[in-house]
Amino acid sequence: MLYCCQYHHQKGEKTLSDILIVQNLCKSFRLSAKQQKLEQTKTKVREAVKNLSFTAKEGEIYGLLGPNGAGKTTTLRMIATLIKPDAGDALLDGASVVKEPELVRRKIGFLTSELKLEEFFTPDYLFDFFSEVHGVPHDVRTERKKDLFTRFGIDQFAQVKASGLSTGMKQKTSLAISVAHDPSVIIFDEPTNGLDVITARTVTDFLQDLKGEGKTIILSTHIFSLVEKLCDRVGILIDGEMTACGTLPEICGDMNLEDRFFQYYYAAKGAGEL
Amino acid sequence: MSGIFTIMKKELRRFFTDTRMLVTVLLLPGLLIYVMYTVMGDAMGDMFTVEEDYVYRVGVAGDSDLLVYMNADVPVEYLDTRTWAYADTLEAAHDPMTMLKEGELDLYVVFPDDFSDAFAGAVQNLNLPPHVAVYYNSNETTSQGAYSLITVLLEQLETHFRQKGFTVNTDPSLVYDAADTEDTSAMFFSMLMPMFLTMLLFTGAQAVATESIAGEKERGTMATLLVTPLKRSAIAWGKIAALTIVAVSSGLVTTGFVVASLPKMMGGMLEVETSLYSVGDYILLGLVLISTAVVYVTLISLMSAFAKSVKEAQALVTPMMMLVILIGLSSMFTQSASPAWYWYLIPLYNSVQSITGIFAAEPDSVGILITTAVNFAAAAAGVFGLSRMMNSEKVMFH
Repeated sequence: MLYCCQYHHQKGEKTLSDILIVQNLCKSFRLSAKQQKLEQTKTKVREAVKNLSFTAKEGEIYGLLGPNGAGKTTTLRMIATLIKPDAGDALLDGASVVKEPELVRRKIGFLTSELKLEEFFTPDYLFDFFSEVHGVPHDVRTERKKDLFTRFGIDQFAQVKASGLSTGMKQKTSLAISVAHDPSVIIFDEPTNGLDVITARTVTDFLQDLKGEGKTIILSTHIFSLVEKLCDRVGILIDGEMTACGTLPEICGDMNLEDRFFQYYYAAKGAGEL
Repeated sequence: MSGIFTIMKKELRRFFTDTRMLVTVLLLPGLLIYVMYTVMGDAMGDMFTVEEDYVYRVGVAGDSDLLVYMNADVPVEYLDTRTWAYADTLEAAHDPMTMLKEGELDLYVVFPDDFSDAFAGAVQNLNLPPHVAVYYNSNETTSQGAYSLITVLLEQLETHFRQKGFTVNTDPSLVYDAADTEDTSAMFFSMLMPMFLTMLLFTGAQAVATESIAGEKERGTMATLLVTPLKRSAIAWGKIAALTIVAVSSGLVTTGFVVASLPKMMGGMLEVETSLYSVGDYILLGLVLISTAVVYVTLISLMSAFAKSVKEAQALVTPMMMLVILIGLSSMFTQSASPAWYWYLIPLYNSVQSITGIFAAEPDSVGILITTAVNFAAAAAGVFGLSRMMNSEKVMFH
């Protein structure tokens, strides 16, 4: 197994290229009686993320790969400061997600299917609103909106309320909004989930363009082809633990990613559970 | 501070550019009350009013001599617009009670056969007073009207014959009731308006606050907001400020409709004087209303933050609505418009007391200032709590 992502630095210290340093993050959730029944367990607490550490370098696309319930979304939500870790910390461009959440939020763009657009507003208004929230100057905002709206074809439906938009249109709008303030780190949770092939292609092309602009992208997915296409480095998460981490050649060796992933998966789960 | 304004602008835009919400929250409640009261008032008016040219059908049995007195000697000037017709003594074959029930007769008066003699004897204490029976149908407006008129007539007839040593309130040139229209209006408004205002403010606040907090949670848009660099307190203050503006607007518009419909509610029987309040009174009222609305909005927002959906939030808020109605009703049973100062320290109750004082034309300025300060302090504490709740993933993402 590869453990190349284990954090080796002293707290607060980072190498020049490490823009995200995740240090021993832990998160548990209390299970309701209903959840216990559903999951057929008597355990009242589920450890969603266990002592997770990894780093992401400036200008790279880092992928968190894992099955449903592996802890990918929880990890990203902790980095995005939506939830607090029980233990550990993450430093994003030197700002602590635990101690300086507002500073972290200024530096990131976050997109997840859980974050929705207010149905009543138009993409045009929403872009302006979130730009204002992030303190983007008016002239910069106008220019950026023009660029992004043209790029995603949003200008064709910019004045239509979100309630009248298709899933693809909404995702494009969300994408534009998530980068309205030109963040240095962009976190995408399952960015192509539920999208048609054309919109999914638009998204992946955009992620590559962002990388070309020197942005750091952290994304979670369970789609192997997406990782193979986009990610410079990947971390395999199974049951809240980082099972392996590295570049694709480091992880896969002479195998393809899917086969390698299941090798890790079987090893982690034990043959008896399969 | 700019974060607060950004959120405020968004919330206000959400409300004031949504036609459906504007109609349902701002116009519809007041309009419904206006239509309801107008219809009720007209119905009540119709129920208790007899047409001017209506001819009462009154059956009289017994001593017919009395008809002479009733037609000629009894002073009944106030009846000059109505035409009286006295039916002949009914034939024995007709059943007067059935006729009353079926509306064929409005009144049936039975005098004893020797009424005049018995009456004269009673005046001289020679015998017991004779009994006059007046049959009517209380379910029929015309019968009820005839009954009221004839009983007054009979009392006057009795007074006339008895020749009392004194009379009471008979000089029409004098005003006996010290209460003028303004006093009546003040009493009327001070009894009703606190309940209406507090209740309508609450209803307006409930409609928008549950939607803005629980609705955003339910739709997942709250998380979108929470991942921005805005401080939680800025989100909370921005929302509370905007919702207060909406709640006050809704409360005032609805109250306008209520005031306009009050005279109609009473079927035009009530004369209300709305010009008895000064600009100062309205300023004090505005202060109380805004501070009350901000408390309502904060309380409902706190409840909504706990809820997973708008539906759940509304269920949580319902007991609070009951409490608001109960406190609002207290103005109807309060004797003094200016209670001791410490009563103004109790949020919500202080608002009712302040509004009662203003509408009774006896505003307690100190009490109103205490009310405003206490309400804003309570709201600030609530906003602090709401900010904490927004920071709690258990509350926001459960």
